[in-house]
Amino acid sequence: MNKRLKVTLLFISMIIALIVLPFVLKEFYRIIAIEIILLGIFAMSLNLMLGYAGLVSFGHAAFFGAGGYVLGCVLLKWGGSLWTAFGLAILVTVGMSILIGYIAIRSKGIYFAIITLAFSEVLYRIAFTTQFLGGSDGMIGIPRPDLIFPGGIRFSIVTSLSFYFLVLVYAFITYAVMWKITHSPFGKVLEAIRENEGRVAFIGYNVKVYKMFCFSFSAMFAGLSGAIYSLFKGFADTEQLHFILSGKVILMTLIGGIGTLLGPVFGSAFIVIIETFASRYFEYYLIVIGLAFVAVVIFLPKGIYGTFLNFWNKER
Amino acid sequence: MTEYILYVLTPQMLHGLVWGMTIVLIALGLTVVFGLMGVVNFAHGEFYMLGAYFGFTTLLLIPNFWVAMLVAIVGVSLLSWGLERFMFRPLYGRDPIFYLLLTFGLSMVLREAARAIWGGFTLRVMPPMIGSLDILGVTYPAYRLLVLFLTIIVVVVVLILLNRTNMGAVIKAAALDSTMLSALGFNVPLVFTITFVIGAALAAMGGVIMSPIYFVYPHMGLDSIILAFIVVIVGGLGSVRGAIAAGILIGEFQSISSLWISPTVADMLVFVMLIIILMVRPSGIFGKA
Repeated sequence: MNKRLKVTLLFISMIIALIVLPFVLKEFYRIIAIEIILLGIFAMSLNLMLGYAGLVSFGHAAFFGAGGYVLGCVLLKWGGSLWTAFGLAILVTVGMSILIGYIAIRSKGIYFAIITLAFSEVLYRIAFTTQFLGGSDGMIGIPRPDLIFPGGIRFSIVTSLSFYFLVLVYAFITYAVMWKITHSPFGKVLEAIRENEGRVAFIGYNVKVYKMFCFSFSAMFAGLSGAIYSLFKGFADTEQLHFILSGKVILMTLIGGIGTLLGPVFGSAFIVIIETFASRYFEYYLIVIGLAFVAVVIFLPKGIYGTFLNFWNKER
Repeated sequence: MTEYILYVLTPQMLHGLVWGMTIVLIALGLTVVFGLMGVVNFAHGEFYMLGAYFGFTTLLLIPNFWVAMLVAIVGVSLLSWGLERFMFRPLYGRDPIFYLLLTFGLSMVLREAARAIWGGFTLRVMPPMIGSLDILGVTYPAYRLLVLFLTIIVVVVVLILLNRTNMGAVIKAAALDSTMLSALGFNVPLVFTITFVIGAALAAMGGVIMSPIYFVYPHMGLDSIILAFIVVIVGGLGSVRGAIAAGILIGEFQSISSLWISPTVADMLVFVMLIIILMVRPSGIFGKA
């Protein structure tokens, strides 16, 4: 059978596997799967910046954490509905990205990375010292209300099984949107900016605006993922804003494969699995992750999934 | 009023100077390596940390602070030499983001390795001298004055090295135009390695000197690298003068502001300062645009 058919079949079988997965997994592993997917989407959002536009944001945890805190505020402090929480999370993170982007996008390369880091550190400290946001303990006890659709249909997400499906649907939607973005003219311009920014400006595109849009899309997905993450965990804490998380997501994106849509999810799986299991046998598993990172950066700049794709495509 | 200046402000200013100079020691290595090699070494904080740990371990065997400092400096110098020679050198020419990511991974490995070897708890190091001196009308710990004295001497030596010796000229030339320097017959990779090692040695020295004051724990490097980065950027990547000025400025700011606001808020203001400087003068105060 030809390649097209092969790929489509592979895709469909993967989707089926994902749907069946939560039923065959035990509770503990289901939770890990949810975590992998959520962090994977977070990494995918970063990938939009890193892999497609070539912008290294070292402060992406700011959006992730902000999403979580907004959800916490809406559900815990103001008694709103889930949709309000999601909507507000999107609004706040996009607003943040416009503010930060306006200042940061003037700078290139390493300076951009440092400004985004600086902003995320400011946010971290604000959350740490603000009692309303829970201070250093963060917001605990975030409830999990039912998802209410127009027409009165309630979908309960209390169990990890049902939550998994919420996350899965979210993942599919995000993937579809990102696919559309990256395969659109907009996405192509972003890639061009990554390759040769000067020339793109010469052709007449407003590079700053493109970067801003990219930043905002990326922030939106990061924020929504953060909101759902906090919903899942039941708390929003300062660690979700810490630059170590930003670094971890960059690791995921790089190990998985920059510039591929699914790569970051593999990277997320890689890191979450090592963190969960290697930590049982080898207390200093971070050394393994660090070494893996160094190895990937040096030898596999396209990441594990990216190199695989390269290999797969060369088969022709 | 005069009591306030005497008993509160002056000691705080001295604290700020001591802290500022330590950051300068760390920042010097960072900024020169970037200006010269285009390498942003995220693992630089780990040199500071390892210096402190090497010093600690040596002290267990030989209870002489100065010997411990020497061993720490030599040890970290060797380590950094190995790193530069066998990991960085084969990868020259890649863009700075690559090195940022690479060294980020490295810093993780070094941090965890330190935690594995020495444990995750905070270690105490005894200062080589105790007691206080009366200076400027105020009673101040003698050891801190010694630290101040030492760090100032070291920075002056570095400045002399860079501006008045042949080696300094070669280093500056390599930063300006390494291809030309190579064409003139100089061993440029060697210059890079030497500079890198000097930077690491400075950080290690800082680590040992500060260990009696700030103690020793695995992520002490992480805690100071962010500040060192800010100092380097504010001062201007590659500018030694900038690193010194910014280091003292930020050190004093952190110290004096802690009289009136919480340290976390003070830190936040430092970041805000960074953002403002990057907006107004993106290449830093003394940086070359």
